[in-house]
Amino acid sequence: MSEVPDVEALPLHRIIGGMPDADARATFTATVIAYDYEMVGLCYLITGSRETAREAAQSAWLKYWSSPPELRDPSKLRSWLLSVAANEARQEVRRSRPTVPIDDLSVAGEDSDSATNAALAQALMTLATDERHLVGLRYLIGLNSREIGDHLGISAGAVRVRLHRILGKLREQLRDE
Amino acid sequence: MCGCTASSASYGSNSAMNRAGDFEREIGELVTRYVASANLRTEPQVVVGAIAGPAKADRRWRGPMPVVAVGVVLVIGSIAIANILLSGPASGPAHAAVGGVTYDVVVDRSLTVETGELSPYGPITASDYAWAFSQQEAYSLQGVNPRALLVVPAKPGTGDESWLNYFILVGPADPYPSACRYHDATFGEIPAECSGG
Repeated sequence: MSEVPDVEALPLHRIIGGMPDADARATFTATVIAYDYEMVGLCYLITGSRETAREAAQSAWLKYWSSPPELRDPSKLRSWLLSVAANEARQEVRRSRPTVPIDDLSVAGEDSDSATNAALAQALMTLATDERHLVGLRYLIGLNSREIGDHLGISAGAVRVRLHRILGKLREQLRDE
Repeated sequence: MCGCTASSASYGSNSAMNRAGDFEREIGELVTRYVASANLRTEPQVVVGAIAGPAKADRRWRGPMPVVAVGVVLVIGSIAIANILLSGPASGPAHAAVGGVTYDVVVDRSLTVETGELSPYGPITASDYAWAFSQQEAYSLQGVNPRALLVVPAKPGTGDESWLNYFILVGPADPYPSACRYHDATFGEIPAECSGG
């Protein structure tokens, strides 16, 4: 070669690293083991669809793998992954993907657990997407009001108010059905 | 959980449910069980394989496609594989026209394209190596000037190199003038930049 450009100076150079393949995959696998279920579960509550939830989580993993976040605090990774996955799920809902959990409704009546799940699924689907997202963060992921507030960019007080309203709606739905 | 075998009607009659704390706890348990019953767990290797591809023994560049493309073009561009990969009908550097702009065709053996980084850019309206492309559509890379660099999927098994997935199209805004261009086997003397330096 006659001349090698200064790679660091190129505007399109935003290198993250040349981690050896085995190390990168090991790190990735450990992260998937730690967080994939939570991500898919949260997306499932938001979308009501297993397939769409898996796709949303997959999109989040693709972003993580191709453009890992530069987090000063590694403990924020879980929050970052959940946020990305939830955003993907919400976008899927906005794209008019089915929001009725057909799989769960279809099994209603087969046994008591299925009936309970179907009742909850129906109740959840009466909530807005934002509300189902909040339900997931609180009751599946187990975040407290402050953590949810950090996650959603609202105050802890606002979280508590919204949760109170959501619980009221769910109570009504479950009572009426 | 709660013994709520219930159909939802039982919620109204269960006195314990009248207390907000109990109800919230039961909702939490219901949600947990509801999600658990959905069989959402996937083998981590399946997830990793779908995103990162099959495990490789060699060093892999992680990061955005532009980094991979640029780094590889610069570092490995000197390899003379361009001369032996394909034997096309024309003699001389290969070209492809996209949107009225003529690009040089560059090959690279270690290029790994993350499809999430690609966006359809435009049809390839003319090329002396169109036969080697699996699509006549060029793709831009996220964050990269499309007048500098595009990619186009290669036909599987093109030439004798089954690993070649994408060709790089280097345009007039090329910041890498020293990268090795693709030439067919009849081109003659290997250009200096392709001679492995």
